[in-house]
Amino acid sequence: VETDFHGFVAARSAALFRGALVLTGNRDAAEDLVQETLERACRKWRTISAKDAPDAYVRRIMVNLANDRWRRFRRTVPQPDGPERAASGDEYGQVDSRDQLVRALQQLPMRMRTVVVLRYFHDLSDIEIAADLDISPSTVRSQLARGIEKLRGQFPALSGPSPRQHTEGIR
Amino acid sequence: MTSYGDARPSGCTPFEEELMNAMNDYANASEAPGFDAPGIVRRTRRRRAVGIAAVATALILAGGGTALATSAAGGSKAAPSSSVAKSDAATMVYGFSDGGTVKIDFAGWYVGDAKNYMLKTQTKVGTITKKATPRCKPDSVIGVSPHAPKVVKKGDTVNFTVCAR
Repeated sequence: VETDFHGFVAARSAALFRGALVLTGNRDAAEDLVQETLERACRKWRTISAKDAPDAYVRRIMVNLANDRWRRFRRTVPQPDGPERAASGDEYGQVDSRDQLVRALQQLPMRMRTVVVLRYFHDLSDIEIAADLDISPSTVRSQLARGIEKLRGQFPALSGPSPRQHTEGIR
Repeated sequence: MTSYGDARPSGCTPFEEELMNAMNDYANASEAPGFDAPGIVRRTRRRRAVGIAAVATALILAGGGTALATSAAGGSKAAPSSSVAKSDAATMVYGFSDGGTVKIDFAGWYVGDAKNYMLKTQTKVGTITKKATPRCKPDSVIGVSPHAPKVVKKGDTVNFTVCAR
């Protein structure tokens, strides 16, 4: 069982770290998050390793931990100034748009950001995201729509068709 | 398919594509640190042992306090828990999934405390048999089954013998 856990860490920790990095926007926070996730996974490893997709289970631990941690973190530490700079119009065009997009992502509320990351980085469906976060698929859809609208609002040049047209198109 | 439906984001809008590329670029720009799996396993094992030891200590101290209080209130007729002979008969050896073990001596514990403790170790309480024994505190544990050196694991059933009133 122990060897199995070692193998999992060797094979999957880099992918977990990348997911944590996109979610937190900070290397140190991502490293802490993955470390804590792996410690929790280790405690329940016998149960996790018996599951069909241990990977998905560990990712679920991580995103929920990130949400819990974010609530604690926000109470004590002011938000970093990085993401706020992304919103200022005068810098638009001077900084790489992808970098700005990631900074803008970090401005979203944690739950909304998690939904966006699970969809667009981890490529999960609404139902899978809903199961991971223990919320309903309709909540996932609304959080996703609002998250994308918020991001799109900051990057009109990247948006193509207006949000209204887009929404109408899918109904 | 769009970002608002229940399908995957293949064939999404240019903005969504750009968002995906941005996230991938950002994630791939940093090299992942190495995570020390043996260290994580060691820490987890140590924390588990420390947690169980702390709970056991707290319960033993609580048991001692109760015995002292009984002694002070009841004078010479009090039968302190420490008078119970500590032997393997009341000692449970709990085995962790990783092979580690911890000894828990239930001798003299109030049976209710012992039952609560069993919940923490995720073992089941089986039968509780009362046995008339001289010089023991009523409802205190005088024996467990299986007892040391047999190892009890999560999910196992443990029977108690307690002092009769």
